[in-house]
Parts: sequence; structure tokens; C-alpha cells
Amino acid sequence: MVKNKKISNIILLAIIVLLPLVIRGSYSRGILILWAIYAILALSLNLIVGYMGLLSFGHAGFFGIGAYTSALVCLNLGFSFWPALLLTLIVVGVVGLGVGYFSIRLHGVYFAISTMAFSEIVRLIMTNWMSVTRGPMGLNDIPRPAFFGFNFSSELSYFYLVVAIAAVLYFIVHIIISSPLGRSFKSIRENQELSHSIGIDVAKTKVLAFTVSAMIAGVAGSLYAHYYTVIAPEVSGLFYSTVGLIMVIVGGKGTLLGPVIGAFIFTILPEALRATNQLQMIVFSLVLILTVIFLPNGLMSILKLSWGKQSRNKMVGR
Amino acid sequence: MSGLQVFIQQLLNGLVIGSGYILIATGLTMVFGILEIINMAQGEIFMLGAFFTYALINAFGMSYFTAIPIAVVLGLLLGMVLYKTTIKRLIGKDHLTTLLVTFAVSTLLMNLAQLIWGSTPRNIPSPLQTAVEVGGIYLTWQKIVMVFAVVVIIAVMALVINKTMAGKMIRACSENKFAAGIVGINVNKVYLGTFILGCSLGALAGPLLGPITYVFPSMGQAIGIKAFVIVIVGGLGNIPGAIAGGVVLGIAESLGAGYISAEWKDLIGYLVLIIVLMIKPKGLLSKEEM
Amino acid sequence: MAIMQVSNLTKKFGGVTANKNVSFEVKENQIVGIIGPNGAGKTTCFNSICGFTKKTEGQVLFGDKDISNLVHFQIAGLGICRTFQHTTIFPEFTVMENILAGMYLKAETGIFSTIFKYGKIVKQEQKLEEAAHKIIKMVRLTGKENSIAKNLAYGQQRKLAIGIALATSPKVLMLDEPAAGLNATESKELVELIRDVSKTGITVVLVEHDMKVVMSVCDNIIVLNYGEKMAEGTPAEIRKNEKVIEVYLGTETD
Repeated sequence: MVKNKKISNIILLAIIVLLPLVIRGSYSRGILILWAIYAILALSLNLIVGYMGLLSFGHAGFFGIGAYTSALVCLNLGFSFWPALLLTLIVVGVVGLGVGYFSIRLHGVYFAISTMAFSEIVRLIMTNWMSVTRGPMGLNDIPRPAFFGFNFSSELSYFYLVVAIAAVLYFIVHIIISSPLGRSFKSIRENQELSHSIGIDVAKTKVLAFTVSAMIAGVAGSLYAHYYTVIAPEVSGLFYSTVGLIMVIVGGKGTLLGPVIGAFIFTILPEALRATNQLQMIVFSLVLILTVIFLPNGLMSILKLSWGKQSRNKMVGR
Repeated sequence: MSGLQVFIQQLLNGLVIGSGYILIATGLTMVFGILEIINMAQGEIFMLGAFFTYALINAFGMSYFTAIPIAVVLGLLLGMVLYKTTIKRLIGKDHLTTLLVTFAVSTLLMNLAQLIWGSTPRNIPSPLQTAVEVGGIYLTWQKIVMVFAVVVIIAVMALVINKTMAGKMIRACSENKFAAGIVGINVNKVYLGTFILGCSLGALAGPLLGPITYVFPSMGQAIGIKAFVIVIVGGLGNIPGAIAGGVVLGIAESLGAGYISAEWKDLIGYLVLIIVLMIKPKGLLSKEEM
Repeated sequence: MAIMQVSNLTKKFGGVTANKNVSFEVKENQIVGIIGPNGAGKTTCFNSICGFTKKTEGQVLFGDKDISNLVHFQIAGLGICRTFQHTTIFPEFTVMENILAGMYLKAETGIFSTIFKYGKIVKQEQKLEEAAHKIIKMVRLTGKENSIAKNLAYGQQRKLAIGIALATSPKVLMLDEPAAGLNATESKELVELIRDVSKTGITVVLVEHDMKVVMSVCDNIIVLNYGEKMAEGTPAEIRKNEKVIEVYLGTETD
């Protein structure tokens, strides 16, 4: 089983790495980059929505903070991409810890709405703190990353950069969720009362998961900023939280691959169909409604059935 | 204008916006009280109420006053369609499901409006836009009519809920659905009735607030989030709480905009939400049991 | 030697007193039953001891450690694990995963060691699985390791719930109505299971309605009535106690 899974992961990665051979042109490759960035955002959201059963409408907040922090320290303090990314991780981590600490005691609806309020607060700050964020005009001329003199300025190189980072994060999330720590996440999702009784510090564990999730969303934001080189306060708008949720739920929450597939469907299919933005969102919201009602475990549940494999994630060591 | 006049002016402006919040938030809290569903699409119902009015006036040449009831009926019908296709499947489901689905409905409606009307802000022409001046304070008839309309609606609703059979059924269902079913109340009808009433209230806010603000597809989003804030602060399912919350938030925003900063006024609602939830994690006047 | 000592436990909900000045002692490796008519405050007493509700007054000593002000997960960490009246399992997990989840406290769960010492975690997992097999055998679910918990029969789910509690390696196992809803054969199996558990040196405290179970398995019985302790003694003593017979036997139907 493990071997199969490892092999299928490697094959998947190989396909992704080879994709730009087939998909050429900077526009099309730009879509691939967006896919990889969204996959990271979805990966982060999945950690708490899928594995812990906490619904966040506020991940755009972390995405936006990631984008702005990384961009601002590069523009104003002359940081290069890598130290900026590190600092972004710290900043988003601290904010995530704070938001998590405050909101985790809230139940269900209250938690969801407070996360939404959080991302709106972030957006308002970005819009109105003119002296730092330049308000609605946003930031531009954000530098592309470089690595030992190599500049990730072409679409192709940036795609590989994002895929490499995404693969590392994917692997980290894989390790977490297949470890006893990840099992405690799922325990809390399955039965909170029982989790208390077996000694899990539920509040602390939730804050931890929330913080890690926020940091990953921050990385996605940073990569977004350095790719488009222009950002506006809308990076913290509800749109990005929506996009993340659609990808997680449609792809299959609580599975590693689901959000990656969800991100693919969200970014690449509409391009192929040449649909307008609004039409896309209409179709996707319909798909989201139908998925939640009729296919709560997303497309992954269909894939798993058709592969005839075991219908669930295996734990460590097999 | 003297300081006092400015203050009263801000207070009244706040009351106007607040009465709009009341309509939207009351619908939201009622639906939660009975169906235990937070309808994230309530803001979009409000937005569509405004666009329906806009379209009826511009495309069909109706007058503002004939357009209002038709827009509300359209909102009601939309509510019925939503209920029959989606909402009724959500009753009794966990909050993850209900929030996600109604959230998707809100995204759907917003983008549908954008597809039809585009994102440029529109103006609803209202014959009530003439200004009145009383003691140095300026108001339009629109604002005055709006506040009075909301007061009348709230009074009628209170009467219906407290004095009529339908109201008794609604109250019975909000107390105990199971028992209400046993004594022969058609709980599903009450669900439907409550949901379309909630939608009608939201839709009515559209033509009333529309001429004061502009009309654009994403207008429901910001006001929707504020309505959640009001409803949570006032206590989920608590109608008087939503009314009080609506007035307080409207006035707080207006005073905040006047005396502190117009840009930051939207922050007030969120700060109130955070403070309230820090003190009482389930809202100030929550009817929800532990 | 007393492993657990409850003194003057009082719990009020608003104006209602659910427990009033309840005191008792649990000796190491005993099986202690708490019985009483419906509404006597048995489960409340359990919840207070295990930190699931905040007690109004009173003290709970575990060994010589005061655990009165600790909350559920801290108390579990010290070695007191409870089950619940309703069936409480992780429904989407397999039986094996349920038991492994119960071993949370024994596993390395730090975020940094998880990420950076993954090899160690994998090795540790193998050891935990071996231990889990023993527990699965003890609760008589061998062969069901890979079944999804929610698909098990009711009686098996009840056993699994006990298995999860055992997986925490408790010093004291607290069972809240373990026989609820079980048929006669299953109840008999439960009695055997409780005896097996006791043989491994674990102290057992149980709240139970089923008198057959209580009388056949307990060393010591505490009777609660209207939130107060009414009697305490061995099954033989309790059977003869006039007061207990009066409030109890008239109303007991099962």
C-alpha cells in the first residue's frame, strides 16, 4: 500500500514537472503557476477544514498578510525573496497564533464568522493604512525571487519554484497528518468529547493546527505577490477564502490529493473552456452546493471508488 | 452647523443605516431561530431586492412605489426557490454543511447579478430624494420614510408573532420543534414561511436603502457580514437583540465616521464583534442553550 | 491503599443540587460500583471527578495529588480515563486507528519532532500498533482491526469505547453505564472483560444500572440517592441494606 502511494505521488509529481513541456506560452504557464499557488492555499485550508472540521472563511487574511509582508520588506527594507519568505512565515505564524488563540474557543458558526471578520479587518487595514500599504493603489514592482544569481523571471522557472515549495509543504502536511499528531487533529474532528477524555489538549492542538495552516496560506500569498509583482488589498478579500474552500470541498476535504485536484479544476478547466469570470464562479458555486449536499467527501471519493482502493487514508507505517 | 446639530445629524444618519441593518439582520436571526441555519446569502437577497427595483424602474418604466412591492414579491419567490431547491436539504445538518452551502448560494447570486448588471454602481431613482431641513438638520424624505417603514414593519411583525395563530406556530417551533410537531403544527410549513419571510425582509431593505447608497453586485457582501455581526452580538435567534444591534451598529458607524474617520468606520462592527465574543463567546443575548 | 479519594463533592446547576457532600474512597485495584435510581447524580459525580464539569465544592485526591481543579485532559494525563454513557468512539476511524488514537499520550506529538524526526515516529508507531493489538484482543475485537468503527455492531462499539480508554494505560478506568443497551450475553462478556481489566492491575470505577453486572463484578458499592451518598458496602451488604431496598428495588425494573 505504502509503496503504491509513494509511487503514485512520484508519478504525480513527475507529470506536474513535465506539464510545461506540453503547455507552452507564458499565459498558459501563468495559469499553471496560479494552480500551484492555489494548491498551496487549498492545502493550508484543508489542514483545518478537512482534518479538524473547523470552517475558516478568513484564510484570505493570511494569504493577504503573506503577500503584503513579503512584498513590503522587499520593497522598503531591501530584503531579497528568501529572507522575506522566512520573515513572512514568522509574521503570519504570530498573527495566526493570535487569531487562533482568540477564536478557537468559539463554536461552529461563531468561529466561522469571526474568521471572516478577521480577513475583513486585514483588508480594511490594507486599504486604509495609506502610509505603509499605499491603500487601494496597492504595491507594485515587487521583485521576482533569485537564487544564487539565478533569477526566477521566466514563467517556466517560477513554475518550478512554486512546485518545489508546494511539494515540500505537501510532504510536511503528509507527515503531520499521518503521524500521531495528525491523528489527534482527526480525533478532534471525529469526537471532541472523547478527545478530551483520552488526554488531548483540544484547545492547544486546534491553535497549533490553525497556526500551521495560517503559515502555509502565508507562503501561498508571498508566492502570489512575487509572481504577479503587483498586489492590492483585494488579496485579503472574501474571494480568496471562497476559492480556497471551493477547491478543498470539491476536490475532497480531508484527503491530501483532493485540494490539488480541486485547484486544478478551479484554475485550468475554466481556461480550457474559456469561460468568463462570473460564469466560472456561478458554475463553481453550483458545483460547491451539489458537492456539499450530494458528495460530502468531494471528487476524491469518486476517484477512490473507481480505483477500487481502500476508501480512506492509511496511517503511518504501511 | 453647531456641534449639537452635527451630532444629531450623525445620530439620525446612523438611525437610517441602522434601520436598514435591522431589516436584514431580523430576517437572518429569525431564520436561525427556527431553521438553525445561518443564511450567508441574506446580504445577496438584499442586493437583489435593490437590483430588482432598479430593473423594474429602468426596464419596465415602473414608478418607485409600484416597483417596491413587486421587488419584495420577487425576493419572496427567490426565497421560495432557494428553500425548495437547497435550504430544506440543510435542516438538521451540521454547521459546516449549512454555512458552506449558503455561502455558495451567496457567491452564486452575487456573480449572477454581476453577469446581468455588471459591476458599475447604479442609482435607484426615488421621488423621495428631496431634502427637508428642520432646525439646521438635513434629511431626505427617503431617509424619513425608511425609518418609519422599518418601525411599522417591526410593529406589525411583533403583532403577528405575538397575537396570531401563525405567530404562535412560529414561537412554538422556536421553543421546541419536536413538541410542535406532536401537537400537529406543520413544522415544514413553518420553516418555509419563516425562510421566505426572512428573504422578504432582506429584499425590502434593497429598495429602501438603495437610493441612499449605490446599487452594485458586491454591496450585499459587506452588509451581509455586518448583519452576521449584529445577529451574533444580539444573540442568534433573538429578534429584539437584532433590532437593538442594528440601531447600535448604525449609530456607532455614523458617529465613528463623523468624529473619528470615515475610512475606518467599517472596522467598528468587527471590533464590537471581537470584544463581545471575547467576553461572551456565544453572543450577548443568546437564546441558544449551552 | 486508597488510589482515589473523593471528599464532600458538591455540584449545583443553578438552583438544583445534583451532588451533595458525596465522599468515598477507591482502593487500588478494586472494582467499585456507583449505583442509584435515575437522577441520583451518578453521571454528574463522574463528570466532576474527571474534570468534565467544574465542581461547586469538594476535593478529589488521586494518590496524594489534589486533582480537584484540573480539567479533563489533564486528569486523563495523570491516568484516570473515562468512558461515556452514550457510545463514544471515533466513527470514521478503523478499530486500529481508534485504539492508536487512544494512545495519544504515549506518542510523540510535538510539531517539530513530527516534522524533523519522522523516522522515529514511524518506528514508534510500529510499537504502538503491537500494543494496540493486545488491547484489541482484550476487548475481543481481534479480526476487526481494519473495520470502520461506525460499521461495527452496537455491542462491539461499546467494547471499542472501553478499548480506547484502555489504550491510554489508565491507572483508574471509569466506566459510565458500560452495560447500557447490551443483551444478556453481551453483559456477561462485559463482566468478563471488566474482570480481565482488573487482573492487569487497573482500578475500575463504574456507574451502572444493571444490578446483575454490578453485583457480580464489584468489590465495593456506593449508593447515591437524590445526589447524596446513602449507603456503601460490599455487594452482600448492599443487598441486605433496608434503605437501599426501599428506594431501589421497588423501582428497578431491569
